[in-house]
Parts: sequence; structure tokens; C-alpha cells
Amino acid sequence: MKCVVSGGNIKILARAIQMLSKIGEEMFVQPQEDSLSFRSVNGSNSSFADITFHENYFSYYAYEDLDESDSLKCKILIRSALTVFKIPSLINKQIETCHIQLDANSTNLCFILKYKNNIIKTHLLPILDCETIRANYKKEGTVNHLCIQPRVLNDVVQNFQQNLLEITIEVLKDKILLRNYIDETSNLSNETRTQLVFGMGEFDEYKINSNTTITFCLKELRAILHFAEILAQPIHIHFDCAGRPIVFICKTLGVESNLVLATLNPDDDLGSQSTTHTRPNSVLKNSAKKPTKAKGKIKSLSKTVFGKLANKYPTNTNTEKIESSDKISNASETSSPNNNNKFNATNSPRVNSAKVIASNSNTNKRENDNSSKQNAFSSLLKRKSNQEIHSPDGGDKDDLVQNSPPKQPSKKAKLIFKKCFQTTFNPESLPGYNNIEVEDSGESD
Amino acid sequence: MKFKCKMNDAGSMRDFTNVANTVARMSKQCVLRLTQNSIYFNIADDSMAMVWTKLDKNHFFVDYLVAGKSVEFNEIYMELNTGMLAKSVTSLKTVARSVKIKLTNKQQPCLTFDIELSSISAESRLCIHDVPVTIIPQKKWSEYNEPNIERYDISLEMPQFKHLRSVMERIKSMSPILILSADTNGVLAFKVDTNAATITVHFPNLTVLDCTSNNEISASVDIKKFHAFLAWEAVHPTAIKCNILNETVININLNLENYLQIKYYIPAIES
Repeated sequence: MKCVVSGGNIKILARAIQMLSKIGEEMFVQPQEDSLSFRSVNGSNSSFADITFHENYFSYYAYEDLDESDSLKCKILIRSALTVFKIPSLINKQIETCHIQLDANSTNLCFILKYKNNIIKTHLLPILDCETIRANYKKEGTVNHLCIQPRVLNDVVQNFQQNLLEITIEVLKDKILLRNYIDETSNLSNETRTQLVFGMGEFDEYKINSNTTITFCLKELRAILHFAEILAQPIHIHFDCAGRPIVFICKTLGVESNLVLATLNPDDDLGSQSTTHTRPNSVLKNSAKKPTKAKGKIKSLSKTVFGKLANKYPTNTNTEKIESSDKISNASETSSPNNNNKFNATNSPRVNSAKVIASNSNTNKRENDNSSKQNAFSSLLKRKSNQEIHSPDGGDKDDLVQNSPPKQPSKKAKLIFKKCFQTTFNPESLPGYNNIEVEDSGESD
Repeated sequence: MKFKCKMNDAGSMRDFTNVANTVARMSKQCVLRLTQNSIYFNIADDSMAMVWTKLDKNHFFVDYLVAGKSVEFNEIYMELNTGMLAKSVTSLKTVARSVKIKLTNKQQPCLTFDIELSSISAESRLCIHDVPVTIIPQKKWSEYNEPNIERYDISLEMPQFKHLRSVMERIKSMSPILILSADTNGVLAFKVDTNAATITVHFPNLTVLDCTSNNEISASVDIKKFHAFLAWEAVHPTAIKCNILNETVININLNLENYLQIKYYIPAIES
């Protein structure tokens, strides 16, 4: 495979590699008959990015030996690709063309940069492996579809803290709410909670068929926003519901970038702390309390969700034969149910959700606080110092927030002595049964 | 207990952001004191330099309301993380149209910023930040009082920030101690002592506003704390005054058109 990128397109290539570098450690290069794909997946397999350059993006593109299609796919370290385009702001002024060359059974992927002053730089990027990946996801026909200019979304996301990991989006019929997702491990008092509301007027397209709340990683979103900026095309966002992947697509005639992110499946839609309800009405009850309940669950979920994906993903993907990317998404949708579950796998570790029961009633107190603010703060302070005092006067049971069950201190002891009560238990089978540590006391004296 | 206020003016929001950012650079925690006439950002810590920043309510806010615990103690003191505060108000500097600040109780006491942001459509974006705060009970208020110093040995104008900065950048790494001395002729001297050299920088012709004796007044301070005060350049103060109590304390007063006052105390150390 041989291709030439020239002029302003080099900058796009550089940004593409930058974006992929924010997703994963390795980059999969996959030449096809009329296009070249760069793909990357992150360590926990919760996000996947695919940037495909079509023939008309290149000034020259030759796939050459069609027979050896298998030997052309390869995996390189993204860090090595990044060094090729180290100074992206400078390159489009100085570099005239960039050749990418990949020979069958070669050990290196070759980038040749030709500068205006007749300097030629050749980068040989070592090939780690001959494999490729692909992800199964559907780009069309999702329940919800949004289309927004990257600049607008970027402005919106700017309001959140730079180091924020996950973001929750709640879509309603006419507006969108963005919240920072508060992890249950973090203490509420160390986190700013942010919520941003913006209307459908800011979208190019806004089709919401069902109100949904989804949570996903912000870092990857930022990466595609950065890339989409240079393409100057709107981003299409496709998603169904929590737990199902969300797909971001930004394309021009020559380039198409897809980003698939796993979303958190917290069983129901109470991902993050809804912060903005201040009125002491029923809305408050639901929105302010549920998060406390969700806390316990989500922790395990976020680990399992992404963890589960990690197991499933590579085994399925690496071994499969390459097909053209368009076919994959549609065709395999029905053919391999196993694959469809990839992101859906998030559904299975949901068992633990049922056992979250306990007594937490300081939330009831909270309502009183709202009506009489005078006491509010003194009691809040007290609560703070005592680390959540639970008063057992749990008023309305329906709204009662249920905490995770208190730890059973006797659990281990029970486990140890349980054996003694089993009818089939023979103490003589234990090692050291005959040893007497202490002689019987009493009687003989 | 109740607090709410609103800011409309772009200049005020910019100044407020600058104050919040500078406070964040000085310390991790700060105490926000709300009174009937002003709000104060206090950085008070035993081991740290201490700052009292006073923002005049009439200039900054509209619809300003503070209701304390009782008529007698009609103030609110709260402690908050300056980093969270600064990050929450960054958008005020450029894209915000207005902001409402209020004290709310959302699972815990929060300082809530309702920021109206400009958008590309007709309706504006609404961004809400809840910064968790800790309310300080009235019996502890006295801990956050300003030091009561009746009269300083000498008060004089400070040189311009740019001159201070260029000097401080060069000498700050030389020694941990800065000896500041001033005399009635209006000469302010910055001195650092190292094994290899003694460097003294003189700023002459400064206006002396007040002095108690004709002797030279000096104080040795932690050079890092003194350097930290340069961060206040961000608020573009119109007047800077330096007060020294001989070998006891240095107080720097920054003033911005009388609506923003910053008092910066640096305790002297044994030299």
C-alpha cells in the first residue's frame, strides 16, 4: 500500500493521530481497497475510534496487491506515530507531502515527509503485530440522534473541569442537561457539581424519541471534538439508552471518524447527582435522594461494565476476517449475536443492584431543613462532623433512600463455625486434629 | 440563613473572577464572609500569609441579600475550596451574561452559581455550579477577625508591580528571607543575604504617607509569601500601600477604585 497526502490534508492526518493517541496506546492501520483506516481502542475496551481516509482524501492512493490483503493490516505504537507529526502547527507550512508506505510482510510502516526546502524525513515505525480490530455498532437507526457543531459542544464542555472523567447527559424533548458524574468514591464535599442546560436550538438536528440519561467518558469526547474542529463539520451523535454504546460521527467527503463509547448502565437513570432541585417538593425527594442509593451500585458497575467489555472485546474482534467497514456494522448485527452483546455486556453484572437495602433516613431530615433553614445549617454541621448520623424516624417509606447494607462483622466467624453444624462434617478430617494445644482443666484437682 | 446576589456587569464579573483566581493561587481553602455591605475573601492560616479581600456590594452586585442567624449576628461565614470556586467562575470572565450567587442546601450547604451563558440560539445556556461549603458557627467567627493594628511605624506607597516583579523574580530563589526596610525619605529597600553576596535593591522617591519615627523601619519576611502577593497584579489595583511595623508585620494594602480592597499581612520572622 502506498499513498500520498499533501497540503492541508497533512494537518488533518496529524490531528487524527493526535485524537487516536488520546484513546489508546496502539494504532491499528488497516488499508482497504479504496480507503485507509486508523483505529484505536483503549485499555479497558470501553472506547473505540476509527478514522477512515477515503481515496479522494489522498492525492495518490494505491492498494496494489489485493491478494495479500491479510498481510497488510498492522498494529503500531501510537507514540511512534505521534513523533512523526510532533509539531502539527508548523507542518502544514513546511511539509509539502507525506507518503505512507506499507509493504506486505514488512516490519516497518514507513512515513516519508517531504519538506519545502528539499529535506526528506523518513520515519520507520516498527510494526508490533499483524492484526486488526473492528467494533460492532450500529450507526443508523438509533432511538436518539443529535447533530451539533463541534465548536458549540466544545464551548459547552469547557464549563466542566478539565480533569473531569465522566459526564452525564440527560436528553429531554426540548433541551439537554449535562452534569458531571460524581463517583461514589469521592466525598460529596470535595466536588463541585455542575449542571448545564442548553436548548435544542443549538443543534443542527435534534431527534429525541425517548428521554434518556447516559454517562460516558469525557476525555474521548474531548478528543473527537478537537479533531472535528479541523474538519469543520457537525458531529452526529447516535445513542439509544444507558448501557448501550454512544456513537459520535464526524465526516467530510474524504475523512470519516467514528468514536464509540461505552456508557454506564446504572440500572436506571440516576447516574449522577442531580444538584439543581432546591424546592422541597416531591421532585427533590426523588432527585436528591436517589443518588445516595445509586452510589453503592455504580461503583461496582463502572468497574464491571468496562471490565466486562475488556474481556469480550479483543477475543471477538481480533480473530475475525476483515470485511469492508460498511458491511460490518450492518451485516454482523444479526449474524453474530455474541458480538451484539459486546457493549450490551454491561447488562449482566446487574445482579448486585437488588441487594442495596438499608436504613438511611437523614434524607427525611433534609426536607425539614429546607422548610426551616435556621436549623438547617447547625444540623448540617453536626451531620458533617459525625459523618452522616442516621435518625431512625423514616417518614414516607416510598421515597426512603436505601443505603447499601451495613457490613456484617460476624460474617467471617459465621463462615468458620458454620462447618461445625454441617451433618456431614467430620472433625477428624482436619489436619492437626489430634494435637492438643491446651490440656483439659479442672476436675483432676 | 440566607444569601443571594446577582452580577450583571461584565466588569464586575471579570473582577470577581480575578479575585477568585488569585485567592485560589494563594491558598487551598478560604473563608468567605458575607456582611450587609460587603463580601470578604479571607485567607487565614497560622502558617500562611493572611489576606483580607473586601468587595463592595454596591459596585459588584444587584439584589444583594444577606440574612444571618439573627439580627445581632447578621453575617455568614463559610469555608470553601478555592480551587473549586475559581474553576466554577472561569466562564464569568468571557462568555457569561449574568450570574446569580446564592447559598443553597442541596444535601449539604452549597454556594450555587447560576450562570447564564451566551449561546448561538435565542435561549441562553444555563450553567449551574454547586460548590460545597462549610458554614462556620458564630462562636468561631472571632478566629477570622482581621488583626487589629492601630498604627504602623511607617506607611508608604509601593513601586509599580512591573518593577517589583522583575526584582522579585531574580531574588526570590537566592534566599528564603527578604528584609524589607523603609525610611522617611521614601526609600524602600529589598535586601537578600546569601553566603556569597548581599543584594539590596532601593526604590527611591516613594511618597511617605505616615510615619512614627525618623529611624529606618525594617522587617524580615518569608520571601515566598512576599512573592505570592505579586499575584494580585491580576486585579489591576489602582493604589498600593505598604505598611511596616518594625520587625513585627508587613501589611500591603491594594485598592481598586475603593470597591475592591485587599489587605495582605506578612508576619515578620526572626532574621
